[in-house]
Amino acid sequence: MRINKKWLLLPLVIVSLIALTGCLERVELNKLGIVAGLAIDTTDEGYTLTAQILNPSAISGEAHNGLPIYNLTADGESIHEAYKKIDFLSSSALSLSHLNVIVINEDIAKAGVAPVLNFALRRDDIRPDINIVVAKDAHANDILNVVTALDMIPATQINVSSMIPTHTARLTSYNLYEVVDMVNSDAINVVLNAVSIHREEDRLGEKVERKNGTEGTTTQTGQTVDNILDITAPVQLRIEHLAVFNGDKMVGFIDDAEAQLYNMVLGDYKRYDIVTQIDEDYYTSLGVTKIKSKITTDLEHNEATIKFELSGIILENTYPVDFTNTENLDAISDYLKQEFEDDMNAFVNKVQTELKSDIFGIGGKAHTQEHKVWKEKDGYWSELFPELTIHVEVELDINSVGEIGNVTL
Amino acid sequence: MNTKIKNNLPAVSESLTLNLKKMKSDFGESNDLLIREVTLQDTHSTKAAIVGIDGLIDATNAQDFVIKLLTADLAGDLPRNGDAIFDFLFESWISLFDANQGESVQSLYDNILNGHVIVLIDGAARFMMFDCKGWQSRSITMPSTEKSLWGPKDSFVETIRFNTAMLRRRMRDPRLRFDAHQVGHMTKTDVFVAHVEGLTNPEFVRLANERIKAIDIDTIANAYELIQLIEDKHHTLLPRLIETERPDRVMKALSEGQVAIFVDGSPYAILGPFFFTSAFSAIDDYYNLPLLASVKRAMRYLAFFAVILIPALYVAVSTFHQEMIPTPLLITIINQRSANPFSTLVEILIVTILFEILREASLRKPDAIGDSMTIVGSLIIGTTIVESGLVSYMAIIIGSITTISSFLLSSSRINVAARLYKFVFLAIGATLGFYGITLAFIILITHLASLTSFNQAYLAPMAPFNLSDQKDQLIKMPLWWMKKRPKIFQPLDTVRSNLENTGGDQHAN
Repeated sequence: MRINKKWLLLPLVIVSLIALTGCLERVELNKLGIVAGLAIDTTDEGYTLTAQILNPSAISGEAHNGLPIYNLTADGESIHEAYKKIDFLSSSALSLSHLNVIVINEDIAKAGVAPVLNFALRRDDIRPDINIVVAKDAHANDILNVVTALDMIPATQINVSSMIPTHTARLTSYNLYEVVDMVNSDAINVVLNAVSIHREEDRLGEKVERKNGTEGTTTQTGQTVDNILDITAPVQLRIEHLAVFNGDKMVGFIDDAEAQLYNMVLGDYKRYDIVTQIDEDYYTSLGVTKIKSKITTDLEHNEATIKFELSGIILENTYPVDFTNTENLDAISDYLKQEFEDDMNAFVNKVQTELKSDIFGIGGKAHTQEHKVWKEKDGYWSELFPELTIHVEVELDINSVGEIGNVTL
Repeated sequence: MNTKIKNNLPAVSESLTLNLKKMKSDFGESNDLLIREVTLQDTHSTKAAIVGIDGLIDATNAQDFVIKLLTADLAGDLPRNGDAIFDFLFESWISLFDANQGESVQSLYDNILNGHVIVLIDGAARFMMFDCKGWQSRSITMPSTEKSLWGPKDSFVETIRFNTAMLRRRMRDPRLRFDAHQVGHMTKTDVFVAHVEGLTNPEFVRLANERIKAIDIDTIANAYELIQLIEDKHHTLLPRLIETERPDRVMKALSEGQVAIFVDGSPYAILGPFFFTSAFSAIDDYYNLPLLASVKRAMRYLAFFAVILIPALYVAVSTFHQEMIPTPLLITIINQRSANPFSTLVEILIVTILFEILREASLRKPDAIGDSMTIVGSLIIGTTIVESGLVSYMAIIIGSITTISSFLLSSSRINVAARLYKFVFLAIGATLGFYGITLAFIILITHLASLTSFNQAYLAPMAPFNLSDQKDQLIKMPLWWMKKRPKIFQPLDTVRSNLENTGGDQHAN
């Protein structure tokens, strides 16, 4: 039977396509190594990279004797070289596509965060919506070593806490593209979260009881499961500061309360509480629900104004006052306004004199509002900013006082 | 003597004995050929014979015949020849309804095998035939493949005359015509092409008739064999003519301008032309809320694409594109698969083939084992195969979703096509990833666009797009919107009705 050669051609083409080119990049799921977090430290010769790799069978499995993660560390002269070495060390095919967070050392932050951004953005497999976090008073890979109760993977725990700025207004969350924009431009400077390790020194070294009945000890680095066997873990990760940058170099830290003020200027949060003390015994708190902040600049006279319009509800009041009387309301709101203005002024002062970094975006506003004047002063903004006079104007509005109805017969 | 009549067929001879001898030898002395010879009550004792096939004729009717002939009063002024007696009996005496005369031997054989009773008179070179069909036929039952919850529940049977009767009952328009053909040398199956004169585009009728006439085959047993012979010639898995067993569906199709073809011996009628989007509409869409019909149609489209794409997408995403899976889901999947010996592709293949086997088995099972087969199959085998660590839970989930989605389409031949294309897509997805699936999908759409049904584009009214026909495709509009017939069937008369003035009085006082 003679076969028409035409009908042999198509199957031949298909088979050769599949055999030569198909399934080339295929990775079976069991052999996948998911890198959840990277920690970058500096050494004398270069960088030390630590990759936190997930071991999924221990996460949803029954016995938790094994940790679901393991760390691999390697040195290199550049970040990429260090990563290549980790790739060699690992037995599974590492995948950076599920990377959550990059933790960097204070030294790197001070020297400039540009190499890290370069590494992260040039690759096509790192997602650009991840966070960069600065490790305060610790090595970056110590941060990744701490086992936390919230999530078995420290890397995602850092990420999880970075994801709640809308509730606490104490954190920032900028993805990589935003960080790069802010680092490159004069308009605004970037502020990143800073993680620190909080240790209860007197509880380290104590014995704890594991699930399977054996005994373990808590360690200083908190890198074993024993760390979370107690309700209050002795070693915890906390984000209590924000790292302020000028360009791509870190210049200092701001703490919790100042972080809230920073977020208020940017108008980027949901709730802020102003607490004021009246007559030194009574406390009144206002929960601000709506905030509008507007920055206007007047570069000719070296001035800038930040105007706030706040409105909120009274959350706590111990001062005996009758709120149905509008004069009292006005008086209280004046107290609150004063409190806020003082705090804000102090913060702005600190930013201008100590940090000398324009994190409010006044440069950007000047660029849009007074374009011609800005063009003349272009490039000198980092010297101009500390010399600016920044006024703070606040308008406060109390929406509701949370009364209990009083039935008078 | 073999005389020939004008169209060159051998004729019945005048001599009764010769005729009977010929018949007996042609039928091979078969014991179901009944021959009753009678002597008529005339002055010359003319002989006559009544012939029929046992089992095909109604015995009571046949008995009446014999009585009629035996009691015929032929004394009188009739001339002696057989022809005169023949005419007298035929025109004045025997009172059966469906009566005919014939001259050729072939026609005699055809009719006797069709349940007719033949009467032969000695001396007349003709025969009389009377329709006395009385064979056993299945009674009208519920349709087995196209069940309807809210519509009529009768379905066609195997006798073509009863089927056409059911259609006539529903469509009482005298314009309904049946063009008769006989297909198959050995089976001589009656095939009727039903259409409405003045409504159906004559092009479709002409195509159907020509193609049926051109068939040269020995047997035809079912409507589907006829479909294979008259469909437009393409190399494809998709149906271009559809068969149905519901008379209400045939009636609706005819009223829209389609052509219906009945095949004797098959409880299915063929409808054409058939378009791709018609496969996604079920008969219940017309018998319930239009909004529900629209939702169900969307679900059926979704099911079609789900059956084709889901296994392929799962394999492609989990082996090539893991970055697309959210991390918690990825961790769950990896965790399930950690000890499995097979790769993802082999897993999915095992599960898919297993489900196909179970499906076939449940179709052919005797009813007694029916339910336990389902339990054994799905629960026990499925659970055991996972818990032993051979496949992961995810593979079972994918297989079940695919199978259940295919049940949504199970009343049409699209289901078969989808299940087969699923394997093609699976192979391509496992080797070439998303890129391959996209390419294969493009090829599939192009292939669909290249098909024709009765020379009409298969993807009409989507491509070429036709706005006025969209009211019954994806979305089903309420009845008062559908005043015109669908353009895709190109009827000669496009206006269905004027529904402006029907319905309740909106401004009731």
